[in-house]
Amino acid sequence: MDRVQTVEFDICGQICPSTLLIALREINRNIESLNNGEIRLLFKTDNRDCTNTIPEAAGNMGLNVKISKEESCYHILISKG
Amino acid sequence: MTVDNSDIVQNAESSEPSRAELQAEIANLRRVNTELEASLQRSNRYIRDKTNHLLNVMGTSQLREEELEDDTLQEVDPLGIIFDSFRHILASLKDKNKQLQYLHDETVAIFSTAQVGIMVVDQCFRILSFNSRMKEIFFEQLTDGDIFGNHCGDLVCKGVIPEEFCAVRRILEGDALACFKGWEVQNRTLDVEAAPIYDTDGSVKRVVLVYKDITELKKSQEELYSLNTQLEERVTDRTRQLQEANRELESFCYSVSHDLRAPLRHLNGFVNILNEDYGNVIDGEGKGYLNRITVASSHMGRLIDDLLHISRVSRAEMNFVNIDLSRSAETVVSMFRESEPKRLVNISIARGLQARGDANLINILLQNLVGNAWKYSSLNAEPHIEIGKTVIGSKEAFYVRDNGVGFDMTYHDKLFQVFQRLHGEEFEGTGIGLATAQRIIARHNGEIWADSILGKGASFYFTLPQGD
Repeated sequence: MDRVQTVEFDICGQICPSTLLIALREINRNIESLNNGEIRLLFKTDNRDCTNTIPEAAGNMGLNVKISKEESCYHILISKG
Repeated sequence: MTVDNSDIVQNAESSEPSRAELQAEIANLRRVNTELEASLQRSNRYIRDKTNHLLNVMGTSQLREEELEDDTLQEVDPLGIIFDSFRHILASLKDKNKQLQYLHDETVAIFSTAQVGIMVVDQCFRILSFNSRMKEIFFEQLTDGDIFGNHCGDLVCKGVIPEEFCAVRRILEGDALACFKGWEVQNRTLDVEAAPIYDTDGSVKRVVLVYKDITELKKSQEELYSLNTQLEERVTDRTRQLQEANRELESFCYSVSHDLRAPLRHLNGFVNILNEDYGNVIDGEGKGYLNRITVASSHMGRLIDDLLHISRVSRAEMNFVNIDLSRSAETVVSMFRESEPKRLVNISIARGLQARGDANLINILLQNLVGNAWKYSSLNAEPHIEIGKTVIGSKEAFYVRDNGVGFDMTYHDKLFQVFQRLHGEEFEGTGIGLATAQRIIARHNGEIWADSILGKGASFYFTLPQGD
């Protein structure tokens, strides 16, 4: 059973750099829980640019990033590296 | 910045400043306010510039004033967000650096202790690094300064290795791995392997070369090959001697068997004379002895016949033809049925059994195997013999199977030896039939083996060359 809690953020309609700043703010707030593997963050965005910037920044923090293209938006899932 | 008028009124009441003083104070306050506003704007500009600079580092676009007004800039605190992010990035990079340091230390340890020569060159064939084993093999007389930065072709290949065998070139031309076995250079034999180190743009940045010195191994292999050749020659020589000795032995066996017939004939003749001419003077006990001499002499006669038979099988010239084994088996079975017409034996022969061999010898083989099955199934009320073909492991084998008395597999190794019998006198025999069968199969370069459960029957399997 998956015990990792997924916290979702719908940032559709926002563009860079706001999307990146929001994502960074939430990652910063939850960095300990992320590193402990207690939670993962799911950002839903329709801004294509941030599918590069958010994963790069999160990757540099040693976190694992998965990007998937869903019907109306991109899903950026950030979890323990 | 705004000015609270009620304060001014209160002040006027208490100290009663003049109008001019009040105007000066207002003007001063306005100036301070303007300066503070300018200072705040500079601070906001500073925050925006620094934020934009950091956002640029992070590969994203700049803050737009219409999106993030000055009033909310401080509240959102982008610099704080990015500062915290950079702090986490730095912590992560520190961890990564530590891991990289471990990896680096490991690589250095492997590099320096490896028993193969390792060298790294750049895309211009310049030597960038090498390990101590590499130095032993190629650069023993050189100082490090003579090696670093020099063209590997000058120090390693030295023009001896043709360009098409240049491992570095192969990697630079796009191969993911280049291997060359048995490089002969500087009195050494080497196996060479090369692999690329790619740059971030996918181009080959460096080439790692590994040189395995197999000089001693090759020398050992050559010695081993030479010893093997000598051994093979000795085996061939010994085999030839053995074959010659065997032929002589078979010839001797044939002569002895043949020559034994004459004294046996004399023995039988004199027993007959004793019976016929002196029968009236020999008492019952004497006649009993004469009868036992006759039985023993006929058994010896059968032994001599079988020995002659086995000698012929070993000496006969082979004439290979395609053989319809099914048909041969039917002929042999008919022979046995005619010899004992009253015995009812259920015999099944598979159709289309084909092989290649000497027809006479194969016929003798079938006589022996079917004869055994016929004999040892005689005590079964419903005897059954089956002749067919099966696959055992990767081999196609013919078989003759019966539901007779079988034999104890403990003694299976004695089965094909001359004069060895696994049953008593309840079954007639000289113990030569299966030895003959084995010699016939051996002359066809085949194999013969048996399987049995005591009291439940036996199966004899044999292989023969395939028919066309």
